[in-house]
Amino acid sequence: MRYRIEHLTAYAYGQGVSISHHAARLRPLHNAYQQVADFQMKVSPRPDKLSQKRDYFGNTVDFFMIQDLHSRLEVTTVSHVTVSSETTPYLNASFPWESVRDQVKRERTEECLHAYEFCFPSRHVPVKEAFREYAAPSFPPGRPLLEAAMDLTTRIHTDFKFDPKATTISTPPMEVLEKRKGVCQDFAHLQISCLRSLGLPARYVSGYVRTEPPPGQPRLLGADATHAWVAVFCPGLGWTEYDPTNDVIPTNGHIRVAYGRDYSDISPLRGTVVGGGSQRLTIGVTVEPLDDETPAPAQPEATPAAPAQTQVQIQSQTQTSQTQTAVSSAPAPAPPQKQD
Amino acid sequence: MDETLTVKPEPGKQAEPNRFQRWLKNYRPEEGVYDELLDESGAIRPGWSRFLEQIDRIRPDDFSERWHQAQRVIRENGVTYNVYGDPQGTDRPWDLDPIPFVITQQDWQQLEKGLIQRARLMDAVLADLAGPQNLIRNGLLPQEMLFSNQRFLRPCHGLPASAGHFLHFYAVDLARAPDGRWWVVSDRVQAPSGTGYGLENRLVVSRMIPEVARECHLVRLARFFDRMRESLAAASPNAREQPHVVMYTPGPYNETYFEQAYLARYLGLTLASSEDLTTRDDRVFLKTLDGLQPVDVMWRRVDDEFSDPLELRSDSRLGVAGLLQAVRAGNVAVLNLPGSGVVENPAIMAFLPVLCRRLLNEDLHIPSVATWWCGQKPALKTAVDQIDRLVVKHAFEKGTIPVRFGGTMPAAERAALIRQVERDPFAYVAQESVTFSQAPVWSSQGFRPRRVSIRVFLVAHEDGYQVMPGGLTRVAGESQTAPGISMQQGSGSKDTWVLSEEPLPAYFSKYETRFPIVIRRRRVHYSSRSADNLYWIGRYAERSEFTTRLLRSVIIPLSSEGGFGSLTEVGPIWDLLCQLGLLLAPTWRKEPAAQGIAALENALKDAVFNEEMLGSLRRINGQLQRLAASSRDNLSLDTWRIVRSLGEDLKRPAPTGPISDMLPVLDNLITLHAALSGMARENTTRNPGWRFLDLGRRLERATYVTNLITLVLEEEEPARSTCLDAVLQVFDSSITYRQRYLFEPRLLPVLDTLLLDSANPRSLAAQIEELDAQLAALPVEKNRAFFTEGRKVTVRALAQLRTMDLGAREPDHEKQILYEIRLLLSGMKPQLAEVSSDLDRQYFSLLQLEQSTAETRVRPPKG
Repeated sequence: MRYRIEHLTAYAYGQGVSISHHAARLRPLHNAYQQVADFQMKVSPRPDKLSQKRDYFGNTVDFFMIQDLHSRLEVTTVSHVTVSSETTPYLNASFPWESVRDQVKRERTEECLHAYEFCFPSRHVPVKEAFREYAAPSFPPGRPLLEAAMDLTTRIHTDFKFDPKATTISTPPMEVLEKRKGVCQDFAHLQISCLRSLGLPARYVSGYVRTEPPPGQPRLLGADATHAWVAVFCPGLGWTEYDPTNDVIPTNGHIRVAYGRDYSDISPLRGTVVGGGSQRLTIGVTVEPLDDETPAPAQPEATPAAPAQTQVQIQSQTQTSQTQTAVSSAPAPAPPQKQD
Repeated sequence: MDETLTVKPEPGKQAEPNRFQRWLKNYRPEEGVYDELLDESGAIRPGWSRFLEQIDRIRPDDFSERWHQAQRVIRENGVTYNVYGDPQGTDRPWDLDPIPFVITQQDWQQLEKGLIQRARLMDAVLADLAGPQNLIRNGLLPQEMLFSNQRFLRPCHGLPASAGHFLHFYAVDLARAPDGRWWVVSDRVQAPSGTGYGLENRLVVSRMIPEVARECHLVRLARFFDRMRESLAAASPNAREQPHVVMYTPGPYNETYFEQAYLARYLGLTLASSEDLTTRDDRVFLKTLDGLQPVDVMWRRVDDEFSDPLELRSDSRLGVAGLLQAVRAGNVAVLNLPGSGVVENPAIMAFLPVLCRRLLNEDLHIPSVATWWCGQKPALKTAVDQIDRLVVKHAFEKGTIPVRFGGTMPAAERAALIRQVERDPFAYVAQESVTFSQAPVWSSQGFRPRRVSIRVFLVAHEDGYQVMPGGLTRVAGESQTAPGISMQQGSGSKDTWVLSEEPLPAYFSKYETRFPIVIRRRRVHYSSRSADNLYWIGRYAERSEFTTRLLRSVIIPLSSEGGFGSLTEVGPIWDLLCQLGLLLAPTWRKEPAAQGIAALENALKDAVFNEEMLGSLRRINGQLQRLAASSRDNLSLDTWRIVRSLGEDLKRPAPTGPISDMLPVLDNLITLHAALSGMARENTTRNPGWRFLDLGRRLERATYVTNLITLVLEEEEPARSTCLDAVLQVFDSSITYRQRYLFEPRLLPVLDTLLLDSANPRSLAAQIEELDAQLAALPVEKNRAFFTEGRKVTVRALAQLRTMDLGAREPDHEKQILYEIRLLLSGMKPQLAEVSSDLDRQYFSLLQLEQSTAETRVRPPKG
């Protein structure tokens, strides 16, 4: 399946920004199952410096810096991607989950060493008894790993309510587990917590998903958004992906952008600014299939129309350091940064 | 472990039980502990006997007196250690014992050999973990050691080494076991602290007993610090004749800020925190008054995960965005490399013997404290089985759980601890508890034994590592069995003396001679933050002095026989104190009896001594002292001492006696202020820093003249005339006035003296002239077609003041003049504010911190 993906991230600042640094992980992955025919990134205002590196997990990071005064930043990427991940694995043909757990821990093959790193807690993924307990019904002794993981995926999909208002970017998975509410990122972190609490290697995948318009209606531009799901490792089979938000095994309806231990490793756009004041963030993603329009069978069901652009009002959390600007007639109050 | 490190008693020494009684009569070493001073037979060990021989020549009274002086120096130099969460405030005075820890050079050289080996080993381990990770692949280190270690920072993986080393600064905490062998208690890898405290200890103690140091052939530290300079310069990736090296500090609230500022000054480095630094095009720059200046080498004292908010912790306010990219691009050397914290943990100690054999093909010379990392099955079993005699610690995170001694724990607690360890074995280590050796500390009754450990420092250079000949000896409290391992835990310290057999040739620093001499008339880099700090020091100094003068001029009449009645003579001064928030309700002037004299006196005492009160003298002086503390790299020791006295003198309860008791206190403060402004005038080079200090002072003083004269003009006659004497006194202008006018103070002549006469250094005109001259000399003012906004103000105000004429020939004319003066004064306030905000725009706005942007939350395909 071929796609054209357009992804806009825009920041509007309350005050001018005199310098900003950003690190973007917006390039779709290029590998055996997914080929990137073309990738363009447009940054406005024009950055002074663009550079690239591969991060620890193999994702490409684009760094850029802007040092002209600006009050708006727009990053637009356009990717042309062919996804050829047609088949889903035979879930019951995988090893029992306990043997995967033990093998990954024991073996020092490149493959296992790499996977083992994803068995440990990371910033957004705690390893706790509570997660193990939640996951336990899906993991009876001897059950094939991939089948058990699918069962867990389905249970999360059933037990948890999709609710963008229930959580924020920093809601810990423990709270998500208690509230039974959240968004795809929360579900992904939760599922990874469950898997790692069982000693299994699980990683976080960021990317896009193709959504289908309701029957008879044209596709809504910008309705799509960045998405997140998980992947589980099984020796010999590599990484198998699961999307707990949609209760599917991602195939060619999902476009992969980056892998990491959790969101904080691969956040799509990370930055620092000097100045700026309040920030208003706008994100818009359009995933456009370029082949015929027949929906793939394993895709999520139709959803109500979303607003054309998702707007998030975010107050800047850190105050800019203000310097004293006036000689006060009553000089008693000290300048803010010098006070005790 | 080399047997030679165990010191054998020298024959012949035992036969002198009565020597050094003055020092040793109360020295009762504890059994079962290695005693640094006495061997098993009670004889004095060789190094110590040489030391005692010398120190015994000092008369007892003389020694006490010298020690008393030395302690005063420590206090006045403001040697401090910030303890987080200390209710006594952040600055804790440095606790030093006058008796050094003594070790012979022969013993020391054995130790050195082992420490250099360990540094090479750590360097090799870091090189592997930051790169190919073969140690993990080959099974020499368990994978979990790396993967469950929160200090393994993935963005730092692959950063390049500088000058061939991953490890540049390294420190080791050592303890001596009962059998005399040295053990490593902990490794300090990511940003080791203590070198500066060690150096300061040396300066204090060697100045206190110089003859002892000389006669004992004390090995000096100068060569080591030269090596340190060389090493820093050699790490520079850029071909510059003299690389720009900065001390990258977390700032004044950091626990070891004193040391950072101290070392920066000693080694000639620029002290720079995140506000001072920025990156452009993958290069690091210092923000200076002359714009951005490139930085080549950074001695990092900020923890690695806080050092770059773009790639590491985004909530860090101590970091420099883009720092890692600059390191990757090879444009700056950061020492130690961010990410080196990965080997700063007790768990790795369990693997060092094997790693040493494999990586260096040598046996590990100095053993570490026996350590079991619970992440391995057999080790976990040992830990659980022997928990009664072991200490359980977190494997990778410092301070997250208190160190637990299994033996002293109630059974239920011990069981809970075991469960905790079994549940998350990777996170814990068990260690044998260390028996520290004891060494003498001084008391007025002679030596007393206390437990000690020593922290030794190493620095990388081209041929390997250099060990500081000495170090920081830390001393446990009385009846404690271990000195605090982290300096946070607060323990005493000692200088560490390595004694050579032979007299030492004089050493002259060779560092400077490597570079051709360039005559400079200005400092190479003047950071904007330094200027900003000095500007505020100027303002607070003036604020303090002026408030002192105001209060004194009110207290004088109150304590005279006139009492309440005399307050009419200081009406506007009282009003100004009310405006400053120091005195409440000016209603006393209408009905003085209503408030009562006691209430009035208490209010005045509060205005001086009450720290809770905004604007009180104690509070202002405290702020001044804090500002000065964060500018230590720019202030002379003498200046610091004066500022410190201003702050410390008020840290006591208000006198309970009559109000006149406060006058000597205030007089003393005025004298200190005279000393402070004298330092600024006579002892400070006319560089940009001095200009900002002066600008702060002038702006503040100009504001006060303006405000007080405005209040004078609001008074009605006859009060307006009766207050003039006091007003002249506030501005120290009584004598000037009297010498010129033979009559009692009258309005127009007073106004001329205080506003227009620029020959009077306290007049408004004098302040504006000085402001104008200082602004004219600042970098921004040069090379531009038009004046800056601030300069426009001073030029205009100066013209206004110079063209004003107060000569009143007719009674009506006086009214006209007063009208003009009121106009002048009301215009002056906003103009002074403009000067201040323009300084801000021109020089300090660069100092804004970087903040992280809101992260894009991953949004769902649904909804």
